[in-house]
Amino acid sequence: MSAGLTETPAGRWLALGPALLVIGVFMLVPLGIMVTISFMEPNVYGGVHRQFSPSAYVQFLYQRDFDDNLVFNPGYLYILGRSLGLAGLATLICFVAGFPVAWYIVRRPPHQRNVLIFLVTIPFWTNLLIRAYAWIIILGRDGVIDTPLRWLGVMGPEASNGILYTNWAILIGLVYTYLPLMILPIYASLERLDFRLFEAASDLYSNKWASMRHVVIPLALPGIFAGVILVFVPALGDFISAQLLGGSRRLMLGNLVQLQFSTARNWPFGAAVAVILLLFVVASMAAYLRLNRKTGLELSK
Amino acid sequence: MLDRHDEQGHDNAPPAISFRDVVKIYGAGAAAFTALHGADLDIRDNEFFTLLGPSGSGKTTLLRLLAGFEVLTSGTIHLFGAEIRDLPPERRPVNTVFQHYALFPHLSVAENVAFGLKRLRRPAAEIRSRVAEMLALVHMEHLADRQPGQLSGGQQQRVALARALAPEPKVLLLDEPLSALDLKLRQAMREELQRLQRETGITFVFVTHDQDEALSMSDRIAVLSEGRIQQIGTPDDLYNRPYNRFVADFIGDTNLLEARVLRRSGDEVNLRLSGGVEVTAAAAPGIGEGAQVTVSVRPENVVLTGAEAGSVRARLVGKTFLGASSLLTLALDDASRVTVRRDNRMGHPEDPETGAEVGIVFAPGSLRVLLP
Repeated sequence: MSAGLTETPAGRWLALGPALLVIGVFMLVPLGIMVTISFMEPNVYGGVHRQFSPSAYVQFLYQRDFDDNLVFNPGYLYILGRSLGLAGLATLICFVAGFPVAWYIVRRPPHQRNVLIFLVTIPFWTNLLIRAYAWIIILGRDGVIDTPLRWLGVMGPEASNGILYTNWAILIGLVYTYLPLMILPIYASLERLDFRLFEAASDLYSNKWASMRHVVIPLALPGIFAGVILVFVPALGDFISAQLLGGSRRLMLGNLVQLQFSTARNWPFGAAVAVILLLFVVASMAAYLRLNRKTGLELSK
Repeated sequence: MLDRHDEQGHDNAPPAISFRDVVKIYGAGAAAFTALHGADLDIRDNEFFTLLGPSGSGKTTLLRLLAGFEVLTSGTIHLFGAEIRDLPPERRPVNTVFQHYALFPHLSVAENVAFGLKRLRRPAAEIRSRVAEMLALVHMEHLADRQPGQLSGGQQQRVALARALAPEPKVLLLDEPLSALDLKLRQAMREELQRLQRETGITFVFVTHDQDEALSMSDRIAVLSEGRIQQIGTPDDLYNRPYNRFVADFIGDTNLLEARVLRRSGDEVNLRLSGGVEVTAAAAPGIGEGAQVTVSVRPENVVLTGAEAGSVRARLVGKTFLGASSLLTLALDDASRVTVRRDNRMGHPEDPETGAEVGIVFAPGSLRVLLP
């Protein structure tokens, strides 16, 4: 009996067994390996020397000069800053652009809503690389954006590649990729919203903006938090937008990790960067859980 | 519609609300649905006015037009003499108590009550004292810091009332506010609503499909059916002087008898019931000699007598004991049925056995000719 199985503690563990096994083998163990590698010495032929060393983390902040002294090197911090900045800005833009879309869809009749939500998810049907290449053509020289900008004189002849290979191009790529992940959870929370509350607010002297601010947004907060996490976390680790749209000189943390494991063959440093990235992700998740528990408590009180 | 001219005649103050030729059509083309076919209605200041009708009768549409949630198709609505058809809900001095309360779940009881005042940018001190005053009015001051989710249905109801009364609206709209409560609470809230209306002096417009609610609380009632106002009057008018067949049938229990008009003299007509008996009834406008009409008589106005003493002979075919009274079903000679309500007062003669031959008389003035 499946109902009986989950009633005893032993049965509960048994029922959770497969899930725990998958999480353990495919997530916790690899994470452990990654953290372990980050504390080892690199081997110049790839792989690692099995020897404890914090040198990978030191390398993130310092470099050795010709006299073998440690010198502060902010290069990797710039990359971290660019990653946080671009991911944060992309999240903000996704919210500002995604919330009205979710609101619009929720206000349609039910049969139209399903069609519109389906349209929102359509980009996921195409391979991410192909979509990124499409953006190269759109943003690149003589593309549909570059040509009118040059014609208007906004962009001078010195910008040989248009806005391709700039931070802006990375930002556009990030927003484009993750916008649906903002719209869907906000839509889900707005759909559960009782629209009579909107009427009640307008009955109590709220114009549309005041109703939004004091009723709709507070009640949609769980969905907004979820959307922010769903956009910010993968955007922080994204490397495809940066690699294809940012050119070779504008790395994000994701590119740095990829580079260390492939070309640079410095596994410990790559692992260390990945651990640093993970810390930021865990921090934002913790903030999310905290906020969500607070608003969740308020809503269920 | 029915008494608007004489109503305006004996009341010099402008009505609190007046609807003129109000039409509301939902949708367009083949899917269009006419919810109101030209309603005319005046509601006086400081009145407890009820819109009564079955679902789909247009009563809620009328209320939503007044609140501003729906846009008029044609016609006018005046609030204390000012045209409000183009004002959005937030600019109308009207507040609503919603059917399911629509309390803001993320705000405390006090914050809910303060919501309208804050949007009106009243000073903080004024808001605080007004919220306290309103919570005291509905006996909820001890629960000011609770969230709506922690309250019972009756408590939520009180908060919804306090929230709607706090901004001191000129008119309070109540959209079936008692329908979600259980019977006992519903009856207690009726008295509570009447008390609030008296204490605040605000015009109440109450929507319900429950005739008991309407009859027990209202100063006046408009009965609606199929998008048309059927009759406007006091509870006594509607019950004792129903205007047409719908009102007679919808309000209370009644017997509807078919008859033909023999003579008309002033306000009275002589009729021959389908069983052959001649009776006198109150006339309705536009009914002339020879017309085939329907007559209404309430069960408590049919009096049981001995078989020979009555003006109509009948046979008892069924009895329903209701506690304070009993309903007896009688079959007349032409097989039509008449229901009689009898008091079960102590010492009252026993009801006759089923199958007994009896006679009935109609209480004087109790028969009314109805318009179709």
